[in-house]
Amino acid sequence: MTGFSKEVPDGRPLQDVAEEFATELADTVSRFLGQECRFTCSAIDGGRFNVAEENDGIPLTIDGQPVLVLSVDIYCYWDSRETYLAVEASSFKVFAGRQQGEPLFRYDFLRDPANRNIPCAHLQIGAHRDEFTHALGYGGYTSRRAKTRAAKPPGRAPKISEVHFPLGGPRFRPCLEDILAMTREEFGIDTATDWASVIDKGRRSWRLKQVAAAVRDCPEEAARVLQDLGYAVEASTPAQENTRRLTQA
Amino acid sequence: MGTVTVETLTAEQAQAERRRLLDELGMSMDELEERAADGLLDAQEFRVWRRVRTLDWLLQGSA
Repeated sequence: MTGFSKEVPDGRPLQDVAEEFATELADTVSRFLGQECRFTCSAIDGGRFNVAEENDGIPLTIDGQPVLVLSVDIYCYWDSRETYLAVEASSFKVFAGRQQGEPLFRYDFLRDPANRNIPCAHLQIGAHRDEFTHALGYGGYTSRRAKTRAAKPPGRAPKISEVHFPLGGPRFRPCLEDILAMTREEFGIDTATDWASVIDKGRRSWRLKQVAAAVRDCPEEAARVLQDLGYAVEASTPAQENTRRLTQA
Repeated sequence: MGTVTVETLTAEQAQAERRRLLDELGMSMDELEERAADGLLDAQEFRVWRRVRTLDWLLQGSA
């Protein structure tokens, strides 16, 4: 869930597409947690919409006590002429207590970041370790970001949360279900009894979509693997590799 | 099981909401962005920062 790009039937109004997308998301999170979660979908003429939870985050409870808060933002683009729906950006943040300050960690996706050296799918962790900050402060000159960080004035020390840990590029990044499952495994948050089936279903759906996208990125390689598996695969015309997506950070 | 509210905005409505939120808070979006980068947003600032980012993103794509 929440990172797909797909073709949808022609002529559907933006509002329908947005609502369907948001409903799927709301159902997944609600069924995982075993509590009703409310989402808002904001759309504008021109084909863009955002889906976010209502009421300042979704409380994640441990033994009934609200300990963490999950914040979900998904930015989608719907091109009704090309019948194409794509996630342009997403941000899943987990806060301690309430939504303020720095999240404990955040999983972000930017389809086309302004800085192409920033991993399009990345994890940022709100943590501190002296050695890490010290190394960041050295800031070598091979990267503009590192150089800028090293030039920070005293009192503006670099932070671990500024570091974008890569997560596998546009196709192999984690989905929301991975993050939900992680909060259960690592923090022991309260979930519905059948949480595992919700996660399995969501992961399968997400990964199938990503496999399809990955095949479109490198059809020749996909055909070679299928041939190895015994399938008869033949292209009517040679297919081109999407080098941009295959090499994207 | 989940509940979804869908709101469809015009560009004018989005711009008006953006202005109102920032006016009520008494801060510019640049100031909010700076506080966000430093992890200093309080709950109210975070709410406005997040909503304005959404509105800006929507407005970028409006016809």
